[in-house]
Amino acid sequence: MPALLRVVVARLGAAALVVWGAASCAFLALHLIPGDPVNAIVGSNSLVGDEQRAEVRHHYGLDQPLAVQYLRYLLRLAHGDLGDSYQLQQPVSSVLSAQFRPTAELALWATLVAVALAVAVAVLTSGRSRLPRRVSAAIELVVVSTPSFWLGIVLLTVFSFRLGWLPVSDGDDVRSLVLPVATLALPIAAVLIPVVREGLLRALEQPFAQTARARGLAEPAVRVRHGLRHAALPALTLTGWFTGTLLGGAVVVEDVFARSGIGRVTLQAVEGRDLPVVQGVVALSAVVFVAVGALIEVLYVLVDPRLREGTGVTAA
Amino acid sequence: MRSRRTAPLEAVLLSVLVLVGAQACGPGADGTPGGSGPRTGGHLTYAVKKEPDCWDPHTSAQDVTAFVQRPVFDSLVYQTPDGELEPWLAQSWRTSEDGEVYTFTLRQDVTFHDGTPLDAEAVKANFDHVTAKGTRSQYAAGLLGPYQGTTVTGKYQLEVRFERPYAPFLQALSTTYLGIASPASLKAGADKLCSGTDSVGSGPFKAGAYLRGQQRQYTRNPDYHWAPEHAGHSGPAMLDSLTLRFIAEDTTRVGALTSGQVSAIDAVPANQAPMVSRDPHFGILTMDVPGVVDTFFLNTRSELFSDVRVRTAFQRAVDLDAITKSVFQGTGTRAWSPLAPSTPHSYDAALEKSWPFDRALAGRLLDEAGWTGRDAQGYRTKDGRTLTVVAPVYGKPSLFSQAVQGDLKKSGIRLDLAASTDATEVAGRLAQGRYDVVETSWGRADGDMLSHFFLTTEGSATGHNFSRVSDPRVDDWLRRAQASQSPDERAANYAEVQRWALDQAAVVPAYVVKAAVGVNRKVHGLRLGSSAWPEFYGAWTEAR
Repeated sequence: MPALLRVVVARLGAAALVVWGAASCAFLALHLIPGDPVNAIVGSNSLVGDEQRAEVRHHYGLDQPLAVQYLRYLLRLAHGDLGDSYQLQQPVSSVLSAQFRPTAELALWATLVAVALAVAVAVLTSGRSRLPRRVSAAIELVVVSTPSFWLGIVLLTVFSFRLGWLPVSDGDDVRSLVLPVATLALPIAAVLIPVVREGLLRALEQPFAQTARARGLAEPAVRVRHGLRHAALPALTLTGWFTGTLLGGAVVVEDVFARSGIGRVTLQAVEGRDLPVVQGVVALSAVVFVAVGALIEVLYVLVDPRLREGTGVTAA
Repeated sequence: MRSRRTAPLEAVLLSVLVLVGAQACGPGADGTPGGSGPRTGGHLTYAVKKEPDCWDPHTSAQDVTAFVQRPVFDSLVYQTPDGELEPWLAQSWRTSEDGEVYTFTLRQDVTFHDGTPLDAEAVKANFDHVTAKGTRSQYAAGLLGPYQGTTVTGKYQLEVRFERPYAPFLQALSTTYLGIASPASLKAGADKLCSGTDSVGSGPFKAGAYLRGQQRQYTRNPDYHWAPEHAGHSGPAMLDSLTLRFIAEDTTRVGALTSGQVSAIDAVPANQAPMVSRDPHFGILTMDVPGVVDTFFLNTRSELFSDVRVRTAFQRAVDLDAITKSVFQGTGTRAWSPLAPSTPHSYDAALEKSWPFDRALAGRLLDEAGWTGRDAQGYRTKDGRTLTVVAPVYGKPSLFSQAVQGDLKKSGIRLDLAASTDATEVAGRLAQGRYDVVETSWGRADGDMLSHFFLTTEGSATGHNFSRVSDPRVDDWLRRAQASQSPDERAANYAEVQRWALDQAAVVPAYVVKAAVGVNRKVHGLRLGSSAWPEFYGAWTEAR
């Protein structure tokens, strides 16, 4: 047990370090840009006198030296307080928590769809015939090289504006999730498919696959039950890595599909230089990255029995 | 039941609603299409390009905030689409002899959405909120100008005092920024008011659920019976409910309209307008936005532009007619004055055609000023320096400014569109005067907009005096206009300022900003108000 405790504590320490590093980088990068943030706060077409400006500066603590601002920021961050947004004039934590669900929903579905699609296509195209593989590879290339902004617009135009099957965006309508999820999932699936297929093909050349076939197991069962497990590890690593892609993609997808979410807020915040919100998003992303990393490690162990202790086999 | 409308207003509507399309009968222009009359009930979904940052009109400076909160908040004064002021929550008002005190008498039959009645104390609470330090008002407090204080002189009577005569006050009062909220709701705190979930006014619609990034709902206020005379309708609103959806992406917004998923949208891009208006199911409402048109403000104190000859050359070297025509695909209007023709009681029509495009003149002036050399790219030079005009741009330079850039090149002037995605960097440049020209516009249906751009006290750091003008005559004209209660006298003074700005080549007015609202033809009675944003009060939809 102490060993486990040590692992957990080390993990949490490392996680805190990652969040601290990300938050500090964001703080420094944003504050080192020359110019007066008060100008960004009051906006362009506004009527604000010098006295009001001083009040704004004081309210956000911008009249303090940078070092003091930084320490205050860290102290607040440690308490889970992300400060007040310059533009929305609300606590960043409440803005982000209100916007988290739609983005999480989008990212989760996109991941599931991408993985399911990747596995299905890889299994179907890992047979002896080369033609399906070639066709699939060509499509993958096209999808990967399509900017997601454009992909989203095309899907919208065809399925929503022309055919009228799916709504653009409607908070209450589940169908409005289909196109955004597809826009996010397709490029990810297109990267995953060759990885899974490659792993699958290599596994199927192994002697254990021959053995399974010799036992009279049907080809689909050989691929799914025996091959897939071997192909899963690299794919899993890649899927975790896609967390970043999902966050970046959410910005584009939420804008095109007029969905609410973290991406939309981030875009607005970056444009208006809403520092507290940008810093909040960076801190949140760091936490998500750490969490996904931990989850992936647990999944490794679940997928690969060789990684479990006491099974008597060691990882290759 | 037909909506009540007076004859002059009908004429105004016909003049402001330009319907692009084949059908003579369009939304908003006529109350009786295809035999079916105005209908109570129904729902309207309207897609807006922008979403307010802060929903408290007392705090926010965004025009979209004024728009989205207009259905919820009434004002003391109403400004009709043609710019006239008339009673609304204030039944009547009078101005003191010296013009420093306004006395308002309120309607006595108005209740806020939370059930509390409107009285003088409530109005005072609103002005106190606008001017309170903690509100950090970005616009409303500025609109109050030399405001001194408010005194309640009776249950329904109050006096508003100013340090000096301030005639623009009444128009300012008609904007949503000085809209009257329930005094109880104002105590919720800045973050609540900004979040848009605690808006309580006395308007024809009550604020409903709001999800940031998605939509805001509104429901009809069944008790509403205090509409201003020329609102185009009386009694409760026709629509049962209203939804504003926030769709930033142009293609998505237009697609949502043309596929029937929303009933109307704002900001139809010029390149998609023909596609929308060709379709018999849709129309486009357009209106010139009153206030300051899209204008190049020349920094009269920069090294380059301190020479009036160079400024005049810049002014006359651009073929604005041709550029406006091509960029806005024939739907644009070039400007002759820094004020839009639709700005009430202040536009100087005499300026039209008074400073036509004249590239030869520009060339002569530049020769005189010593810019006689040429570099390898054909730009003019003087003492080995290229004639470069620095224009800080926030974000991406517009198609229009790129076209101007191309045109100036023909006169040997290099327009450097110093694009930056960082608002603070641009603001810093402006504050330090490190620029030659700033291109901007600002809508407001009052000639006093000129004060924000030309008063000496404004400056380019915290104000909007981008031309960095400091001329006692200009200050005098602007102060006189602010002090006069006579619309004609105000107009005469504003005309002086407009003429001066063009004579001095302190500005190059470029094009008149237009609102373009795409509307499904099943929607009627939707009209553009004085600020060129739609008013939903009289709107109704045909039964599906």
